[in-house]
Amino acid sequence: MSLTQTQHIFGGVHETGINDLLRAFFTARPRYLRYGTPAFVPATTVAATSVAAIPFFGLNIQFLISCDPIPTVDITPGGAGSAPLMPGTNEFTIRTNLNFTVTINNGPRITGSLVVLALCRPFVAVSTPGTGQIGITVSRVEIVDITPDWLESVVEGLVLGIIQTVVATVRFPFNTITAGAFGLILLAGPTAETDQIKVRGNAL
Amino acid sequence: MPDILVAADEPAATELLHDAEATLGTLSRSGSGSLGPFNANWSASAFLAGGTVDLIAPNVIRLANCELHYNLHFSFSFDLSNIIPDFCLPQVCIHIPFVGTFCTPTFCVNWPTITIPVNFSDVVRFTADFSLNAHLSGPTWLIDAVIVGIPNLQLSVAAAAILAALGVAAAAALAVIPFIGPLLAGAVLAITAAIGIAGVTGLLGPILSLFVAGLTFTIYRQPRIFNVLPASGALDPAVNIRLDRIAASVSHTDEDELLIEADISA
Repeated sequence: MSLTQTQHIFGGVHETGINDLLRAFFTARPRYLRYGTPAFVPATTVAATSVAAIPFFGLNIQFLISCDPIPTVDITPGGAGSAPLMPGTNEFTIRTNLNFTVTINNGPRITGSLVVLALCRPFVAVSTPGTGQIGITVSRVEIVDITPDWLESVVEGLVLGIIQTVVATVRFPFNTITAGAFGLILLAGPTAETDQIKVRGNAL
Repeated sequence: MPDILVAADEPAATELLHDAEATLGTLSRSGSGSLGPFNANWSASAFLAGGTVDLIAPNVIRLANCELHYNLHFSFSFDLSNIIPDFCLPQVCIHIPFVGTFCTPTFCVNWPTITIPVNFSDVVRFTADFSLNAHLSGPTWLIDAVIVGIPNLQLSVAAAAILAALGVAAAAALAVIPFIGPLLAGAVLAITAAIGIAGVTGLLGPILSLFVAGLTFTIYRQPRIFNVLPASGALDPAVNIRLDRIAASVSHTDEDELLIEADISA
């Protein structure tokens, strides 16, 4: 079966390539992996994003959240490392550690780290021929080894929001998916399959 | 498995070649040669257009019916002394009684070289195979399609037209010379007939071959440091990746495809 199938152009990025793109993106723009309230991040810089503190029953809750290491993907069919949240059809799993530091009313710093798996799909963020972009949506997260289950669900709900915020910033331009060889008019995809993100269409 | 794999079917590859033809633009050459008794200075310009791609695994792009549009300017020069010898009328002296001796001056005729301009434009179609060559040139990755051999150019019709144009132009240039012009024009026509189509082809072929010998279409050109996203304000610097390897080939499954592979790093 040809790669282009019924279209004229095919572009496929292997998960190793997606991981390189994520590394390039988050290395250049690390603030999308690091969020802190003013006690930790007084102002947004290239390195970190400042967010508002959370008022909660009169408590002053300050926190710093970062994803480290840089997220990596496992595109369907998933490998053993994605076992807790195997990617299905047209899905891929993102893996990272969510590291946090919290202080309440300037009390001692509480630190921790969670291994996070997130189930994702590619989508067309911008469809403009030639300059379109592929984005990522997150549908579920899985955090291993939290009990009881209700607490895991609460934490996963919070983490889902964080991971959605992080990956919502990531874009893969059509031009990158074709390595600059073609301007792409997207007609089919993006799909996640056989360890790749794939697009098909016509040359611009 | 490469980090990025791009495939193009034959219609898309044809567009790619047409873009490369347009990028190549108009080429110019000049030189000189001989055509029978004529010396020919020439200048030529040409561009390539059209053609359809046939992909042949593992590494050949066959471009069929590619058009070489060319424009030739010849400046044929011809020394009339080649046909009629230069001559001198000797001095003649007459003795006239009681007056003295009267002599005529020596009178020599040195036949000039005439120059005959001929312009000619035409299109010649050819089919040629190109091999793929991916390479790093300084900071830029290129994939070149390099012609294999020199294609056969069918030039007999063009040669006949050039020969006819030369004959007509020569006859017109000579006919205005009093007394002997019409005779010379006839002689030149006889000479051009003797040169024949083969003679013109022998001049034209090497000229046009200059435009196809080693012909290279660059079908891919990207900087090694590849910009993924441009900078967007002070807080979002540009995102770049490095193209570590680029390769090109042709694959055959249920259809033929041009493949471009890239390995990247952050």
